[in-house]
Amino acid sequence: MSDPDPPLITAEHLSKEYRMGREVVHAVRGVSLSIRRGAFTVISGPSGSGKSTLLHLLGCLDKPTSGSLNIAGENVSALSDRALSNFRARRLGFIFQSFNLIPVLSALENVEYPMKINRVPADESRVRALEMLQSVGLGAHISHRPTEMSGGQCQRVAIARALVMKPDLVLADEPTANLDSATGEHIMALMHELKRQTGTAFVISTHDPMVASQAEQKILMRDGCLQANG
Amino acid sequence: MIPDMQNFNLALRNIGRNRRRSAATILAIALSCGGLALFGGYVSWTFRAVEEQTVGAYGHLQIYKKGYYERGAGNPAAYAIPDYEALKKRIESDPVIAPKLDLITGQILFNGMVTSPGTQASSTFAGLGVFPSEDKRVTRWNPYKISDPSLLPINAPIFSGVPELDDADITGGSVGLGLARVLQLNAPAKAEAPEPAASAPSTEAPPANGGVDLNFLNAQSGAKQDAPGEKPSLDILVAPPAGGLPNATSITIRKLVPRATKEMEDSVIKMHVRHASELLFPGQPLHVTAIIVLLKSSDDTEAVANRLQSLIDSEHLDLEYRRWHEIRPFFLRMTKMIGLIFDFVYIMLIVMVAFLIYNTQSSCIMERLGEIGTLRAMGVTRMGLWRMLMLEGFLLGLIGGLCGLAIAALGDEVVQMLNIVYIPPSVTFYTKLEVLVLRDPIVLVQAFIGSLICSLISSAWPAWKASRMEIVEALRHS
Ligand SMILES: Nc1ncnc2c1ncn2[C@@H]1O[C@H](COP(=O)(O)OP(=O)(O)OP(=O)(O)O)[C@@H](O)[C@H]1O
Ligand SMILES: [Mg+2]
Repeated sequence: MSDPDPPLITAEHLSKEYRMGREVVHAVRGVSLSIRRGAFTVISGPSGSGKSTLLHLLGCLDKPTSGSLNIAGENVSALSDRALSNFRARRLGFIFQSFNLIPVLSALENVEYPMKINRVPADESRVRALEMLQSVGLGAHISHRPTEMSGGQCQRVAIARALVMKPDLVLADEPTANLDSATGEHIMALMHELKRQTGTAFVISTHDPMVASQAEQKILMRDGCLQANG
Repeated sequence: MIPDMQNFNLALRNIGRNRRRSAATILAIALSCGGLALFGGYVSWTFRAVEEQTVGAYGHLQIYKKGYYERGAGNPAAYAIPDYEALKKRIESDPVIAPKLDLITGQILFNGMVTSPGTQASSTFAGLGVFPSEDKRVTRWNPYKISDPSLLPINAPIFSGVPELDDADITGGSVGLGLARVLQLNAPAKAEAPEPAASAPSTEAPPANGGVDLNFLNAQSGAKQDAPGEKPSLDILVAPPAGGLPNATSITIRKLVPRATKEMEDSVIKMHVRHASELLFPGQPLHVTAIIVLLKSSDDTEAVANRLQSLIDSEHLDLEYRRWHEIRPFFLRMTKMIGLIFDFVYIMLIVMVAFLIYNTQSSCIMERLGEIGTLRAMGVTRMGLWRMLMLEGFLLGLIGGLCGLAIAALGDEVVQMLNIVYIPPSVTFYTKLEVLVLRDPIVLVQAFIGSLICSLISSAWPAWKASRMEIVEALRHS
């Protein structure tokens, strides 16, 4: 590669269609974009504009109907389900609107889980999980179950879980939507701080102008199309 | 993919998540598994009881003179084995048979006429001459240690009192109850029974210490001494092998006894083999009509039969043999029938439990779609997810199965304690109901493996569906 600093994500003409009986829903239409390493990118747009769908495509959770996607030098649109699983496990982290922690696991075990998937030795993963929980400010809550924590605390655990494998990219679909605005701001600040520390790229979808205002790179979606990228 | 202990732990926690539902499922598996094991134990007991009863009556193999089995019954003399002692030694010393052998004995089976001189009643009868102590060992063959009917208190009136026969009492015999009724032995015997050695003066008292234990139905379990004395006798006649005048002798009645079957009870007089041989072959060495081979284990029947066949072939012996289940095909028919019933119940229960687990697993997975999507997003492979869910189903089966084993073991003890006695078909005395669960662990293994297989099979489909789900679709449920 001649480019000295290739982008982390290069998407070309990404499309996703859903078939609903006779009707075809074009959730994402021919989106091309590129995202730098370590960027803090926010996707915004009205409801139904295809933010989540695009995020799922970028997170290798869904296969595009057409188009190509390259993440960290890997042509992910060509990978098998198994290879994609391994790719997600090593390279990507996810943060969800409703936190999606494993309810039977404690905060610490939730953060350890991605390392179990990646076969990190147990003692090493314990140390890393503890450090990670400390850095999200939950060092005192490691043995709490998700039901024993507030939404903000749960989302902090989720952030720790998403980052513990030191992924290239963390994808977050409306991470503040289930939180009050003050907590949402804290969570955003935390993500910024961790992005700065780790150099991990974040792609966040949101309705929230507060979130959108913190973007280094803004993507505006409308009717499945990219309306602005800058 | 994930170290297994942790998966195990996670699966257990997931089972603990909906306690009531998991407990209900585990209980259902436990009851089915326990029920299956108990039913299996009952079947096993039935098989063994009938096997012991059959082998106890016929031995494992009976060796006859060639043609006896087809035609010999009408003319036992023509089909008798004259060199019993030599043949017995020959078989006992065979290196193949010897280690498997429990005992070899001989018997004479013949038909004749019997008259009771007391009542002048007479009847045809089937005579069975045996070696008394050897015959007793055959009758008591009990390798499975299931409870011996003769030791049950409720059977005391039948089995107590003097032994049926005695090695030293050559002329003594025992008469089946039905035959005794025909010969009107009961009433007169009681009246006639002399009490030479006993001091009890009353004729009304049961002759418990008397030599003749005819009044066994009222007998107390008391002292049983085999005092010699004048006993009521029967006159018997048989047609001699060479024709001419019938041979006659008499036997003293030691006891009236129930027999394994009604048919036998109505016809059989059992006596000392030497007495029978002398009656049929006066002045000749001991003859038998059948050599009875009793083995340590029924499993060796076929091996010993094959060995006997090769002995017969190589030494040109004029002999044939029959296996115990050929002599009494009832065993095979019964095991086949009960075996089919068992298989049917087994399959029914397995299918029922499979549906139950399927139902639990399906709803369990439906409730966790969001979580499943999350796991897949984090990089758990389809196979990894499938294995995780299968492990949960397997653990349900494992826990349920283990509880089932405990239930079955407990059931075994309880049935023992309850002391259920009944008279099984075709037998004339009480038997104690048992379920051979602990003594025949194969039924436990069967039921346990059934629960495991069942839980795996019924988890497989829901787990597979979940693992194939689109990640985005699953995540929508979070
Ligand atoms: N599984 C699906 N089947 C059919 N149509 C779908 C499916 N998923 C999304 N869509 C459609 O695709 C379009 C984009 O949906 P998407 O969820 O990406 O929008 P969004 O921008 O995330 O909206 P919101 O802000 O409400 O979350 C919508 O019209 C939606 O109805
Ligand atoms: Mg959305």
